[in-house]
Amino acid sequence: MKKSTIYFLLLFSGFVSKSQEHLQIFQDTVNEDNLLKISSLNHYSSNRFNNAYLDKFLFGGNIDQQLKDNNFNRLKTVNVIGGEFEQRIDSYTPTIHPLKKEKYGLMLSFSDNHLLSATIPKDLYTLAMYGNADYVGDTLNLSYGHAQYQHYQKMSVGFYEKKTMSSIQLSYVAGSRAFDFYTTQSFLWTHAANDSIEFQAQGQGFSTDSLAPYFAFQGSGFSLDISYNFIFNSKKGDRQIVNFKLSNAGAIFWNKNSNKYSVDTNIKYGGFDIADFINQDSLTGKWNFEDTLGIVQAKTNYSEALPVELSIEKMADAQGKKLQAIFGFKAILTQDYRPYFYGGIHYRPVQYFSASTYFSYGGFAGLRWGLYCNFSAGNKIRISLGTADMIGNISKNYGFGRSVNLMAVFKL
Amino acid sequence: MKNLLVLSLVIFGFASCKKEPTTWQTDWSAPVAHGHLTLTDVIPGEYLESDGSGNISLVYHGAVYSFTIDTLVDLPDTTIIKKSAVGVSSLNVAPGFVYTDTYDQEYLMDQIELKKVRIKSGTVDVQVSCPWPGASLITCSFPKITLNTIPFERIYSMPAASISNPSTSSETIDLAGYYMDLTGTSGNLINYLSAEFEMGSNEATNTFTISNADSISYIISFSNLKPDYAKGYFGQYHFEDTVGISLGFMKNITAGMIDIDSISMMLTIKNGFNLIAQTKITDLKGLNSKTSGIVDLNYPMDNTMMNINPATGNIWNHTPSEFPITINNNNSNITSFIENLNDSLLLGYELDINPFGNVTAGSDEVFPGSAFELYLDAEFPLAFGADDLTLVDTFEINYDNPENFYPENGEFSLLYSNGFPIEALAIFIVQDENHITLDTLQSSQIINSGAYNSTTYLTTPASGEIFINLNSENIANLDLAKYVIMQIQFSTDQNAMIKINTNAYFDFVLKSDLKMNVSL
Repeated sequence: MKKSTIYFLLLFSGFVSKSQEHLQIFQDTVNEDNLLKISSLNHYSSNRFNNAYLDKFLFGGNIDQQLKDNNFNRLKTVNVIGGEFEQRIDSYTPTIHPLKKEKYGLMLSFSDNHLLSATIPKDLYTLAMYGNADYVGDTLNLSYGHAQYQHYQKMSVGFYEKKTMSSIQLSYVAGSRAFDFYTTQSFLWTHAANDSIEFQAQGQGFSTDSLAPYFAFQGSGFSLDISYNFIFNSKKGDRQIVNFKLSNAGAIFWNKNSNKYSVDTNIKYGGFDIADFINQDSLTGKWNFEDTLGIVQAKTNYSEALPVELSIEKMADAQGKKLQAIFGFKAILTQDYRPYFYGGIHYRPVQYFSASTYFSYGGFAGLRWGLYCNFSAGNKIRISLGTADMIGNISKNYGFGRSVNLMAVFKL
Repeated sequence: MKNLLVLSLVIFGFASCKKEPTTWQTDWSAPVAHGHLTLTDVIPGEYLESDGSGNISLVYHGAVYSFTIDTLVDLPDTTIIKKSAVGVSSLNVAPGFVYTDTYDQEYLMDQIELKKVRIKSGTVDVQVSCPWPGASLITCSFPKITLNTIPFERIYSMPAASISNPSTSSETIDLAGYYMDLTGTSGNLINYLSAEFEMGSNEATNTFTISNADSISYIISFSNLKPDYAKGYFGQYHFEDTVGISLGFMKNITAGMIDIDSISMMLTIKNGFNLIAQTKITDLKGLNSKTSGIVDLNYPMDNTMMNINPATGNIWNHTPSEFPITINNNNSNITSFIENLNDSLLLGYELDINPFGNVTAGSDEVFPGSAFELYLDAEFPLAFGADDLTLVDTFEINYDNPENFYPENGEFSLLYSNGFPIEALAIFIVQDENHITLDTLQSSQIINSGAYNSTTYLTTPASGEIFINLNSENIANLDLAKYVIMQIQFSTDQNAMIKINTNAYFDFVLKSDLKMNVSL
């Protein structure tokens, strides 16, 4: 029940955002039909935290000592978790010719995107999950932690080349909500006698004024998206398609009510001094966490780059051989995302059905196994259903995330 | 697309509603409080003195009971209403015409016969109304009310007016610092204010006519006069009363015993007034409401009438007379009086002012700042033995366990170094809003006394650590608590007599080790 719920959420949820996880298959060489493409691309993953642990945060339940320990033992220098969720609709209209050239068609798109990512230092996990009692006399290093979230909608207009389906789009970006926090040199030292705790904190952050409602219009921006399909023939005469893509080259300008934070402090806490309490008629005032830590907060405009995505993929060709190789590379220019590589095969036993399988490594995750199935109903409908993380979908202990992707293309 | 968006919203809402919270347990160690306590941290410095060896005494210098001039002399508000007119039916008033009228106003003050006072605060309101048909000049003066020897005088220039529409003038004057001679115009009266009114033409060339119907009226009101000096005869009075004096700080001591070595104190009757008085302390009792113990203090001059001499000097340089009564171990039961751990005192007294009448011919004086006082000089050397002396205090608390960070159980530890020759056992009683006891938190260990050397009177500090364990039930009770009663039992080292040195201290660090449940 839980798994089915998660897939359902992943498919359609409002958690959702920009992704290139879906495998692309190159179709017609010249598209002269109106196309409507609906896609739902969703995944979250981690390179260290398994599903048994992450599910506790998604569905609740007690994180027992063994579960804490198992995940603790996997932690290394880089411990990330992240997710991308995108719900998207594209329309291709070949009868409208931008730039007054017949080889181009009009392309309109709308998408709702979420990006969530975090880097969790090992000692931050230790502090949060175990507390400091076992580390009296030790220093916990909380440096270089990071957490980021962006939610925005893109309304895009552009054109595509009918022959190659290469496209270029300019988008208006409506920013809904976001935050971004990171630490630099930050440490917590509990003195051996437990008579004082020293905390050095350095970091910066930002958040929109509000994290609700879902469409909390709090910023505007732009982006440029370019997709170019390079088509050539191999020495054996087989058509090969390589897709180059640059997405989200742009920024969001959050409004003046955004909160900007910074902290650079070194405090030593030794408990309350009894001298502050005796012989006092009364004690007034409230303890203020932000003041104590020296957090400086300001209301100001804030501009933030969108998560720029770069990818190069050798695509499967629907008109090509039954068995084809597929492989690719992707990068998102955000702190928590590492270069992502994949490679596998695409097999088309019959004209109306094909499947792809591949292994990938990188991104927010480690090694993953992906699997896709593609169906065609006549010449009018194509449906693709797949996952970038089959192991994650079926295993709590060996899976480190989940992924469900769906795409449907209609010829109108 | 619209449907997809609506669906997304619904799903997002669904995902936010987990079936159960995410929980885990953490273990936190942190200091809670620390301190370095000496006696001066607890008792204000003005109450502590040390001898040449550094041994501390608790001292008190202050009035136990007193009264000032307000009790003896009160100047009531009084108003002079005077009308002044010529005695003929018609009179031509030429430029330069003047006539004068004088007036004595009696101050009604019962037995008190005042000759002179100095005003500390108060005002006089002067209102003048003149119907004369020509411009006139009116002078109100009080020749015996002076400031820096200059008599009080006000001159009012009145325009031409009529009986139906007289000209008026008024003002309020601050009398602070003025001397008032109350012997009247003749200088032989008592309690009399003398006034002088001068009326005349203010015309340069014109002559006008007035009649005996053209009367000038004066309303002069003295209000809120407070003297700081008075001379005269203040009357013959007998006061007697019994006053209760609460010793609030002693209410927290609920049980136990102390054994005091020696105490010396001086009870002094100070007469700051230049008058003859007799007084008697009829009763001095100590009451312990917890034990219902009552001890009468017996000492020399107890319940004996004492003649109190007048103060000497003048208004600016005066010395009170003093009648000292020494009270110590040898001539009183002061030690048992103190060992009763009184939380209140009863003081009964009688006081006779001018018991022999006006024998000074009206020369009684009260001086600025002077008072009639029962003054206590006491020194209580902190040399005592204590056996389970129990100090109790109640604190109101408002502790709410945070929902997301909930302590399950834990331990508090107090690491200390005790330089006082006193051991202590702390008990915390947790009560609800109806003062029903919910829980009792207590360490199984005591805070050990420093080791006391009865020869050198020095204490070697004792170090140790005590623990208070809290289980989940204790913590749940804290959540319900509204009051915590702190009960500390003190005993001196081996219940022996000890002296406390000025260098004595209590160092501590209170630490916590809590198992905390996190719930998200």
